[in-house]
Amino acid sequence: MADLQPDNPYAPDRFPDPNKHVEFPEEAKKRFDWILTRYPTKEAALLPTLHLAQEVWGWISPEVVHYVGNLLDLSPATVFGVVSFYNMYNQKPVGKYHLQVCTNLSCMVTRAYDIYDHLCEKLSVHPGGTTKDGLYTVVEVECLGSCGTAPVVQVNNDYHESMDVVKMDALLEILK
Amino acid sequence: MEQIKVLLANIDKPDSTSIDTYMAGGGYEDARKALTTMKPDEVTQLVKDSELRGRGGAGFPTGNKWSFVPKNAPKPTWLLCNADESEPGTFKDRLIIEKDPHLLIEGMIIAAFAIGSNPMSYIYIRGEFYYGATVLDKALDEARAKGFLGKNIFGSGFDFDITVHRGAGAYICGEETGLIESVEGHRGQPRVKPPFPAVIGVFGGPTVVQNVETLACVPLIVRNGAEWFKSFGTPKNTGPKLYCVSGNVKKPGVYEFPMGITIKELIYDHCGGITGDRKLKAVIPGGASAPMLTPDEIDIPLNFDALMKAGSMLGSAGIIVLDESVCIVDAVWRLAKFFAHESCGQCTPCREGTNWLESVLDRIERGEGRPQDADLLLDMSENIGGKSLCALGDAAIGPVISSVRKFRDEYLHHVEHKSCLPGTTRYRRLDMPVAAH
Amino acid sequence: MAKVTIDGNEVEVQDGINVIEAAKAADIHVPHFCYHPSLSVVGQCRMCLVEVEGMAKLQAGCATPVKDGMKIHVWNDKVDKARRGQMEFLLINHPLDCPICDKAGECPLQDYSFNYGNVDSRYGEFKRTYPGMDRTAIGPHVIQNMNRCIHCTRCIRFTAEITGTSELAFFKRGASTEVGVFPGTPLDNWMSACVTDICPTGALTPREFRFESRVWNLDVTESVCNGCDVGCNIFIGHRNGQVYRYRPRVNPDVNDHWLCDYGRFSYEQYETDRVVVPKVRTEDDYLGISTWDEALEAIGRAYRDAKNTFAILSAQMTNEEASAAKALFDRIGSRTGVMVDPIGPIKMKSRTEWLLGTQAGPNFRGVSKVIGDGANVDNLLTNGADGIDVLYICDALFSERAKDPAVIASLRKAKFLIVHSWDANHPLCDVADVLIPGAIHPEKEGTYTNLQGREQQIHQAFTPKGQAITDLDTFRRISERLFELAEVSA
Repeated sequence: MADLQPDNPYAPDRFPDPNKHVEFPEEAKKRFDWILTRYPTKEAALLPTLHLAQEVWGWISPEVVHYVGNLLDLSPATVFGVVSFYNMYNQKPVGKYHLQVCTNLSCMVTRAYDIYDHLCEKLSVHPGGTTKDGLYTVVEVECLGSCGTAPVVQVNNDYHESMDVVKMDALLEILK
Repeated sequence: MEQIKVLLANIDKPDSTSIDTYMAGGGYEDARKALTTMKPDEVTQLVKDSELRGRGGAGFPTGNKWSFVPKNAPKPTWLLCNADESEPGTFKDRLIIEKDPHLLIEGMIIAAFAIGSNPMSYIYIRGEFYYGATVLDKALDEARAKGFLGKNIFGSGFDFDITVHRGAGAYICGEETGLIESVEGHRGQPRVKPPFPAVIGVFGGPTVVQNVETLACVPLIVRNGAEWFKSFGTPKNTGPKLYCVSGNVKKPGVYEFPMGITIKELIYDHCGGITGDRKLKAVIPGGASAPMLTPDEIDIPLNFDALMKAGSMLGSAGIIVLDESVCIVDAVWRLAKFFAHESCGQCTPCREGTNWLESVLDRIERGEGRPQDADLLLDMSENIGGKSLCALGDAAIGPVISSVRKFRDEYLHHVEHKSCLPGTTRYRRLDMPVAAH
Repeated sequence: MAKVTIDGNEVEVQDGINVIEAAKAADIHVPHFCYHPSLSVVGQCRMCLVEVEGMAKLQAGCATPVKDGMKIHVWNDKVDKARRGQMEFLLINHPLDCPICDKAGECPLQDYSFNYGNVDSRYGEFKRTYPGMDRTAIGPHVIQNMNRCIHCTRCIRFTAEITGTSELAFFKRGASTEVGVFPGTPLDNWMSACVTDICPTGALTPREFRFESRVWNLDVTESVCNGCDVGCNIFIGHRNGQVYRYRPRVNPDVNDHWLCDYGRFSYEQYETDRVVVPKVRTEDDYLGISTWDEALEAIGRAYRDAKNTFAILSAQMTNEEASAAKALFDRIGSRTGVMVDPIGPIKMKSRTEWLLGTQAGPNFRGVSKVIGDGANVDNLLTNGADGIDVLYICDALFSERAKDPAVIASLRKAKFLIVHSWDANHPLCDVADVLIPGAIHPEKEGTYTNLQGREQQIHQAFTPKGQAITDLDTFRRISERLFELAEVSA
């Protein structure tokens, strides 16, 4: 069977590191217990638990996938299926500032691509990439539901509306 | 037609999100009235009489939806609020959530009472609305403190509570069965129907999924009666309606009108016309999935039936205005990219078809189009439309079919001249690398 | 009951079953990929679209329950156009590698593409590929080629609903959706290879059968698995006396569509040296090749003066063989006993219930019934065969314990030891006085009684190797030699 590739060679970064121990801190554990009380099934708590995990660790690492799976009696594949389905769960570490530029139609016709291209060039990152200093991640996202104040850039959880290139530069000055 | 302030009556008040402001305007009295003086069936009948139609997109009569819930189902009945406002061009629910959350909560209490809901209910809010979720959480805490949520509300013996369930970035979770799957903690892949959610929905129980704006109408109907509600708009298309205008207009935003204002009036009389006083090229009347209308088709009332007749749809009333400088192929490509990105990937026509549509449109835009591409797009769309598992397939072909039919010349120009029509702009740079989906 | 009209044929079917099943009653096939009778209905391949009169859109046959008076069109122009459309979507990203694909020949995608595929493609783009996922071992038995996947999720539903292990899941979404295992948790449940049966393409193939044979070159024989007492129904795929694979044969009452990995790959034990000729121990203590005549003569001699004789029957014997053996040994006056090793328990799901296989032989119940109150074999193995003149072991593989040197030594205490075996490497073969070549399970014809008491027929796939004959024939020959010839000579 020499022609076979080893187990999932396409995703070496998805292999969990057995030496890395992950566990919710006390505060998050309390929050997790509260989440469980709000749903009739354990499985239903998966999305809020993943949000919680992302708040704690910043991204959903393979170890976290296993940890959350154990907490909710789900297989790692099921958990990762959910993680990779939804856009907002980061499967890779992201920068301190996650710059999410909406480029959907309403934003596009109000020149959102200018902002996006400008960000990529100014920070010299590939689309979806993180700067070397780990400060910024630039991604193009779909409609953020703020078309009346287009274009919109979401930085972490905050919306910055009616943006343009000049305002974006000013914002970058603040985000350091 | 004059602008009205019915659903948006509270949003300009200072501190509009606090329960005190809301109660000063008579808030929660309607829920008290419904729970203490009316029977659930009477509330349903009242909503039926008001001819309220769902504001989420399909325009299904709300009262009928409630009456479909079986009365003696083996599992508890659930009410879910759809606040996963992801349709490009739509931003009305966000306004209600962020500015007047108690209106939504009160609407949910009344709706839950009418359908005999389980004591727990969820507001499925899209994950990106982090601020909206915090506003809702605060409002829910206030309502709980006043006893409007929890056990034995208003002494009526009715128990009810609400949890904010944040989505995590998936347009498809705005589809009601996708939303149900997502609440259950699964990938948001829509379910095959039948069974319909009204029979078997979330956690196996009968489920009613309602849009934020629909629920916000409910307290007003209880307060003022069905006849008052019907005094807005035309028969079968009743009530005040929020219209979201975006794109190339001078004053984009959310506007409230009695249902049935014409597109022309809305754009030119209220939104100040097109940016830079350019000419209008196309209007998408109901969010990204609605087929486009050309300038000579815009003298049409924005209601469910009139737009349906014109071959488009009101959808979520997200009106995207495109002026003459927009390259239509580029615009349609952007929407196709959106649908390809948001396809859940489970059914064949949508998974393969939306991606193919995007590839072909991208190819045309890059000047590599072929003469047969326009017909290919139409035939492919025909194979997607009505064949997919949920409505996303139908949504994805709306802009494609309408644009190929109405702007065929522009497509052919791309094929022949390998460039956009003179005077139109492509907004993206073709040399930028594309990030993986 | 509901009366429905399918393509003009009126059939009466159970109310509420889906259109695909109803059409089966009318002998009409509705093409489908994702629908599987033993898994939940998801309606995602859209291949089973049918037209129902009175409904504007085409309906998915798998998800549409029939109602009384429904008029359904499975084959008309509108449906045909839709199906061709779906087929085109499925094929645009499917590699054109049927000539090197193991599924070719039994591939629903290939079959339907003959009916609905276009000769030329309108797809001018690059085919989607999943780099690094084209020949990945996702478990001990399953090789995945994601490029061939059509996203029907049968495998995902199998691991979620049947085994309950959920190793497989959809990752990502849209056109880049992939089926996969999470690194570190391979697809290693006890029925993992079933996903290769239900996969409608060559995306999942069993490692053991990979590139072994084209499926159309295999002969197929209906049989029953001999791994345990569940008695799963199988097809034996074989050619020229060699078994290439076992494949489950649908029986809703026993194994439904499934087969456990242990049973499925149990034919690999036959890839060993076979005993092909009888052997008889000579006076200078050499176990030499002999003829059947010499072997029978030796057996006859041994039994002639024997007083205390014993025969160990095996749970691998068919009911017919057991009856023949019982008749023979009763006539000889030999005690008979049978034993079976514990196993598992191996869980197997029929359509309605879980069956637990706990015995390592397929027919312990049947053989026990035939011999009635048998002698204790366990006792013999533990305490030794002292004082036994002739010990007849009907199958060297009657128990794993028979490979233990201590047990062999205690069995060897019998004055004369006759062993049936097909496995030339079995240690019992070396100590036997007479070694009879035995037949493996695909070489037998007969019935097994499974744990439900169900008698199931196995068929002979090919004849025994060399001079080997089936046990049935062996017992007949011994019987002839001992009694009939003796009578003649008398």
